Amino acid sequence: MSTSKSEQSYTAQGLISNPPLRSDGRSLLDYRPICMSTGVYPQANGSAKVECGGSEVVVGVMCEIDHEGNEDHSFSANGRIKCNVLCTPSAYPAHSPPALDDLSYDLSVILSDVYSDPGLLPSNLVVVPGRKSWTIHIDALVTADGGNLLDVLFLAVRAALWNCRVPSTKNIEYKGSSQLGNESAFVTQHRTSHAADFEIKDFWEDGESLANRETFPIAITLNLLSSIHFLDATHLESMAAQSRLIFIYSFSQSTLEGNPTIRGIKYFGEAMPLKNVHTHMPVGQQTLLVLGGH
Amino acid sequence: MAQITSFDRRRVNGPDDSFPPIFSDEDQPGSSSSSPLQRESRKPKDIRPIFLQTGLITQANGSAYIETGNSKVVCAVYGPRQAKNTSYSEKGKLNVEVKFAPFASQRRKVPNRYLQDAEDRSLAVLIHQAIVPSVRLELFPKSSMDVFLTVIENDGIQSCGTAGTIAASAALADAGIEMLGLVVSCAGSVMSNGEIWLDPTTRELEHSRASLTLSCMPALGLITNVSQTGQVTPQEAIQCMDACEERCSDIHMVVASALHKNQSAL
Repeated sequence: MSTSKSEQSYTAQGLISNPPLRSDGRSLLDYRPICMSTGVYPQANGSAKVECGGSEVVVGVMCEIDHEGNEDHSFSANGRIKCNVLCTPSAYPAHSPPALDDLSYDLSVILSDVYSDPGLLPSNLVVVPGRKSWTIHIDALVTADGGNLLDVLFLAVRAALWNCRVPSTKNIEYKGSSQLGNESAFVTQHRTSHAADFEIKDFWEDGESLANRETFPIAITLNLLSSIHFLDATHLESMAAQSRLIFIYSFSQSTLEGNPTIRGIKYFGEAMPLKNVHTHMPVGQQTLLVLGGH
Repeated sequence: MAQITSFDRRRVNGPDDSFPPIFSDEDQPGSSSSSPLQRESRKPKDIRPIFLQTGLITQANGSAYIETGNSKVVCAVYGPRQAKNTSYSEKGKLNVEVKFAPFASQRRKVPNRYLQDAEDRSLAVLIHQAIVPSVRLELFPKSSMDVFLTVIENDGIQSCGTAGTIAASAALADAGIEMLGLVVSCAGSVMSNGEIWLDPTTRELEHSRASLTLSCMPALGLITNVSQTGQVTPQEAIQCMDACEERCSDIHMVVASALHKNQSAL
């Protein structure tokens, strides 16, 4: 979206004036109304749709069994999380296909960098110890972009993961015919775990939620302009900002007490002194408490 | 992308897949399974020595070659030259492209001239954000500057990012492009006991809880990029950023003296 210099200057002047003026009358730290629904796609293991002031992201979570001999040699016995974001042409009608691909890729990388941390991996993703585990595929679809996309994206992913149910499995052991007396050296079954395969329990049960789902993070984008910062910027406001500082926070338990941990920091825009980062960090924490209730 | 093996019946076809050799860890000091509680051969806040030389690629407008530890990155800058699109742009465009050599990492990367791999683009975006605030793009309307980075050896994606940023900034200076200041970059990691180790090697990164990369212009006291992954408390993040910024002024001296030496040699 291209804006003229006078539009940007007009918006910036409004933001730094006292009292600050935004086009929809919000204060600098107000979010637009957030609309969230979970379980919107019953065929996925978990799903959510979040809409915030014109930005809409739909997330579907699918669980897939990963086994030891897979093609890209990336099997992990404790399971893993893979993220993918797709920006639809309907959200960005003016973008060319390669530009859309690049944007999708950049958002996927930000999401993957956060969710590939082993500290965030749920502990209940093991199916057959050492041989099979669950891979959680998070697929996000950006259907509309009205500004502040990263915050909405992380909110939607968190909601979908909260909603996600991993199917319950039962391990099956194959027992050979019992041998009287000594076992020969050719019997190798005892060397690895006894479980050789699994089956999915009766599908009428929902399955279990992901083990540490209250620790999944959300993102707060602080738009910086001279000495002020503001949240939930529209497209025009983000053009007027000099830079964007993104903090990705998570709490350790669902009570929202205690200090949040930072799971990621990203920066886009012009150069600025380091102490600005220090001063803006506590603001992010306070906003997190507001959003943490969702 | 799945690779379709085309069988040629007139020849003896090799195996479909290839695997890197597995080396035994016995002769290497400190195998990777034990977590290093004390840093070997360096203090926690020390970085590895940097070798930087500019002007090695003669046909480019500016170039730089940097080595830190085992990471080796070469950077070539072409520009400013006329941008391909006919639409008017008030400020110049800075394009950063990163390519890993097929032999750069442990596993061989399939060379493909047209496809930019996943890892390449995220590193390019990081380096682009680090150097773009320092270049005076408003002096080059309708022009574009191309920064091409080739990673010859990859000793951890962090060190490639920091080395690449330093090389890109040195190459831009070598090309004579007007900048507000030299950009230098430093990476730090937070270990499981809360200690901060600067310039981590791949092995040290495996045992760390979080890693942070800071790029700044020490001459102006401004930062151009901060990027963090992993899990930290806000206090640790601030400590790590401060430690990185302190070390950046030392790196700036190295880069400035290397540029000065190469200029006076001309």
